[in-house]
Amino acid sequence: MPTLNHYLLLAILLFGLGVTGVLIRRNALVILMCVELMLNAANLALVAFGRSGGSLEGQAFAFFSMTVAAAEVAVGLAIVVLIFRHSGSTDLESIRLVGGGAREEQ
Amino acid sequence: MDFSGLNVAALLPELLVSGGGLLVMALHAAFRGRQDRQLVWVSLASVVAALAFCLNPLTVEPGYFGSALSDPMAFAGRITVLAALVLLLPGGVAYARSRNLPQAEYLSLSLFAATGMMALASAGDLIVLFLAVEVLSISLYCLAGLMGERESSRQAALTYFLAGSFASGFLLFGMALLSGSAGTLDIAALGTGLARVSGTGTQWVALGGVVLMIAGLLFKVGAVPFHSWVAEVYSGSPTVVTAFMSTAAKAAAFAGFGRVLLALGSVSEAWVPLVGICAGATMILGNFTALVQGNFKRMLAFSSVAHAGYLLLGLMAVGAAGESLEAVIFYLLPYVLANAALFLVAAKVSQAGSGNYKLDDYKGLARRNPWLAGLLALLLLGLAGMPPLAGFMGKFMVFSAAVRAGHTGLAVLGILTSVVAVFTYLRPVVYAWFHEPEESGALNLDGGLAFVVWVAGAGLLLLGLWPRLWLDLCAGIGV
Amino acid sequence: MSVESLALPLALIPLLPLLGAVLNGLFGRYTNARLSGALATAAIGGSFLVALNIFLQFNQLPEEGRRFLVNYGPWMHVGSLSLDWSLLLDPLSLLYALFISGVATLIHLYSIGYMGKEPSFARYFAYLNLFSFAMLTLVLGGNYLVMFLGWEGVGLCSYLLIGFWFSDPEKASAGKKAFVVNRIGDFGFLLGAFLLFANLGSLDYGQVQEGMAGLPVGHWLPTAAALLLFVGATGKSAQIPLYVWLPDAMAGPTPVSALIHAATMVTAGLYMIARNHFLYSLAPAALLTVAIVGASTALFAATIGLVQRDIKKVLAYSTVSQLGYMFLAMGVGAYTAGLFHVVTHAFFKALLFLGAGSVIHAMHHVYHKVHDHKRDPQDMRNMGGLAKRLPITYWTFLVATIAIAGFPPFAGFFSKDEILWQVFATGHWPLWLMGLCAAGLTSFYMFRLLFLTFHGTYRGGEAEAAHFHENPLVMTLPLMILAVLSAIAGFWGLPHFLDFAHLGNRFDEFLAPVFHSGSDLALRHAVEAHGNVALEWALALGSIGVATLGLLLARRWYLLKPELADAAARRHPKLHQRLLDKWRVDELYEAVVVKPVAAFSEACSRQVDAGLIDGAVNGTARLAQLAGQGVRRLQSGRLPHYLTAMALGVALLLALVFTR
Repeated sequence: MPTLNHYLLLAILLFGLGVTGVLIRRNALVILMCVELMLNAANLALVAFGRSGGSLEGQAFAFFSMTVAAAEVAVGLAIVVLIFRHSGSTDLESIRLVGGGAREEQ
Repeated sequence: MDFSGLNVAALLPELLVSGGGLLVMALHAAFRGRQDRQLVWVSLASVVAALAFCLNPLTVEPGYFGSALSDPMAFAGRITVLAALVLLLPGGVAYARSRNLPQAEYLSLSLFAATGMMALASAGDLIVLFLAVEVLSISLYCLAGLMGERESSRQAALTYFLAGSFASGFLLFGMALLSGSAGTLDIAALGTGLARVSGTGTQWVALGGVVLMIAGLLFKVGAVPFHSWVAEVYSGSPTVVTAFMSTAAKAAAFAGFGRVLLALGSVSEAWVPLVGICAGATMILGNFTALVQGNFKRMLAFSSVAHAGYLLLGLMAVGAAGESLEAVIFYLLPYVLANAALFLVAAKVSQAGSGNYKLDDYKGLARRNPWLAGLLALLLLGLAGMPPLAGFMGKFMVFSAAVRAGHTGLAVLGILTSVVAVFTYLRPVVYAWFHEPEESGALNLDGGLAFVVWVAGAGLLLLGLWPRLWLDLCAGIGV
Repeated sequence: MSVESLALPLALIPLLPLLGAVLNGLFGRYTNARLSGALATAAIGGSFLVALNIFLQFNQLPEEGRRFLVNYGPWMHVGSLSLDWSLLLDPLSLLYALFISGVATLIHLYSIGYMGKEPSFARYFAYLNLFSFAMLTLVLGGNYLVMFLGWEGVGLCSYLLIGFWFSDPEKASAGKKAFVVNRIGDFGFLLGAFLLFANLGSLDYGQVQEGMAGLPVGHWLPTAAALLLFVGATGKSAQIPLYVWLPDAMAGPTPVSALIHAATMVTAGLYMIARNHFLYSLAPAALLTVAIVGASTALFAATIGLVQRDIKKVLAYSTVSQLGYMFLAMGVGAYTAGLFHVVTHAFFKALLFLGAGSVIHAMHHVYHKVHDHKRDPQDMRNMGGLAKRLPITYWTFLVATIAIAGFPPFAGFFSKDEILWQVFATGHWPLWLMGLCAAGLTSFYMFRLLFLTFHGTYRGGEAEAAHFHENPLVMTLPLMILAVLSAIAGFWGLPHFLDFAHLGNRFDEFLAPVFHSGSDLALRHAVEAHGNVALEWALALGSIGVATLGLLLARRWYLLKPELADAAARRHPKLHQRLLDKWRVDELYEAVVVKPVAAFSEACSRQVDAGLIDGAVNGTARLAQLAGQGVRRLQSGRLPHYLTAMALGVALLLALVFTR
């Protein structure tokens, strides 16, 4: 029978996986998916805590965070599409972000 | 089920503002964009209605079963955000119009973002806190990319989005660990919840949650070492959006941050060194980086990083030593007023000059428009912390709270770095007053911008001479 | 007299000039220079009359009743911090208010003539009035923060007035330098104030004094607070190491130099020490520091003054040097003697500057007539023989020169001699020796200035000299009034060995209620124990002798045989160049302070901008590669950098918490 700690361990692993993915992948879409993984790890932890504590609060929080994640993905995709339209790629390296002092809004 | 604790009225300001945003969208669609010029009035009406409600509340009871609070912090945060909107929306619409940006989108997204900011300031539990952070962040991601035809704006949007959602991941995971181990979502109850598990194995989970959550919030306020997005996002976004980010968004984030740290006072020994290091590094890096910028917009961006350092110092004093929150509450309003006005002035001066926010554009401004140059000096000296302007009072209160809380070293660092900051803020003033103009001809302000600059300047002076004016208002409403 | 009846007049003292500033700022452009100047003069003159009226009533009060704290309402009550808008009236603040408003009135009047042709006269008079407001707030403020308000205000006005002719970039940068150096001093002031607040929980003078009452002499708290506040004083009052801004501040209009950079603002540091005398008396180490810094500054600045060619630069270094004397007095605990010199110095130094202004004004006029805009009207090498041409200026200037050089019976002799006597009598004979040397140098460079400017023949030729004429009455009247004051003010504080008519030292008696704390009495006992009338006579004659030496040398080198001075310079070319270069202190600061700060900022900026913890990120990448992980190059692109930096930040914070 898995206990709270097992679920937490799984959540931490998932979270770590998400973070690693964000750091090593360079495709904006994949990074977005890895961020979702981080959020889902948090959801898992929330639900596990809620279940073990006998309260519904965790589950409720998880629902809200799923909604938020959906909104975030929608906006994120729109931005990525915007970038793709102009540079023809979603790879962060080929987008060659120059920021900083190089470009200013006019 | 008993619905007496619902008290929808507690969220009425947020509802009014978001309703205004929806109305703007609906009107834009209904008139097929032909009446967009009038939309700013709809937006302002909703903002003013919310402002009126805040100043004259029907209720001070918390709403949604304790999720939406009406305490001084909530009041101060809401008013600060709404004040920023009042200052920024008219100028922002003019800016959008002159650069062919979609006005309706600008207005509705600003109002949605403001909804999130106000909710953040009045959040009573972690769910509302998270939702509020996300509502404001997602709206700002869109706003940053509003000038999508420009590469800089697209990059700002993508950077802000990826970095911001990454930070949200940390924030949410931290919240999950923290609330799970404390057994509550109620922010105010976190402290007692944590006290219950101290000494057990769960304590470590909770501590990890605290750290991750603080990291997420440090990102949102743009503190070192999570400041890396600031330069790119602030300089790439449309200037009126940058103004909004660096004023209202920051004020709201600090209100939410303050609430969390206040609740975590019982485990302060865990997070004080951490926040302290970040505050110190933020003051140093922000101020020294701002010192060498040749670009006004970037200078303001880094100066806002620096101010985040001072505010963090104030929060530490609040959370750890029970010093009054008033220092932080007070600091925010003049900061917001001055910054909002300065960004709008920057847009104007840049448009009339080089077009890319060079400090050189300010040369001889006093010859071209002495009033503007005078007010520019007033606003910059206010940010620098010259008495009797409110910026000085804010810094003084924060430093004295820090000194009383025993953070003497950081207070000394704060005073030292604010001496450095004077150089930064003095440069445009010296250019404006003590240099010959490169372009001749008067630089006239339109009515809206003149209003903003005068209101901000007068506010800075008034709040400096009568700080209690604002603090009593906050205290009177909340209690 | 009661607190209630005082509330209005006391507030009027600073508020009248503020009103003048507002009126001139708003409506000045619709008036002419005379009207604008008359308004400003009337505003500050009103302050003087109010202060004088209070002074007359004050003398009838019993000694212990001469302290009024008037509270005008709360200012900041936040958490444990509670501060009020309050003004403090006691002999010390009244003394300052009197001479500030008095000298300021004369200088405002003079300015009507001096700045009459200036197109932005209204701005000038508005700033001048605003300065007076800030200065009076500084001295009348009832707690450290109101004082700081004035403290910053005078700095800001000084900055505005130094950069008044902003078309000249050099002058603009002088203003900036003054502002920035003063901020360094303010840093010390604020730290001192916070230190007091942190330990005593109050920033009210009275409460701080009470809080200090139980502490033993030499306790760390008063010592640290006194030293930090002294840093602030060195900034405002131009002492080593922060004196560098004052000579550059001479770029402003000359009446401004007279008012702000000679008579009033630069004595704010002394006011602050006098106000905090209870702190300093508990801190012998701090007092000794003050004395050493003061004596060193007095001597050091005097050496630079020996060779300067710009008439205002000589006076500027002379001011720095004289301020050093005052600090020296404070440092040996002779607060009253120091303050006496503050007052007499305000008279004769304002007179010297106004006289120099009168000369410069006349030179300007002449150059204007002959259409020469290249020559420097402030360079003494272009002057000479002006005594006949500017007679009133000359005679008044002569009075001031004798006064500052320390010849009896003019004011400077009494006040300077009192300081030297007290320094000697308290056993600080090395400091006394430094002060005595500085006195000789002072006499030398002042008479050098006098001879170069007014004696001999005019070095621009006779044709040009015909264009000279004395300035109008509005400018010469203040000179004459100040000359009378410089001549007789010394009798207000007559030292007892010269007090043949048993008038008593009225100045001492007036200030006695302020300084009746224990250590001041101790000082007095020490002085009385050491002192005897014969010794006092000997010292006085000694300093007159040194001043005479200076006079004679200057006469020989610059009046009788001018070639001797050049020969001396040629004999010691290195020393002469060093002195001309002001010991190269500016260059030293540039290398030691300015450049490192700039380099550090650049480094921060690069770190944030370009690489963003490049090292850390690259290091991690290399580490990962070494570990044989298939991590691809992390350092590509900026955005991945940001994300990596954030993750590293989180890791850092986690490590901080979990390794404790």
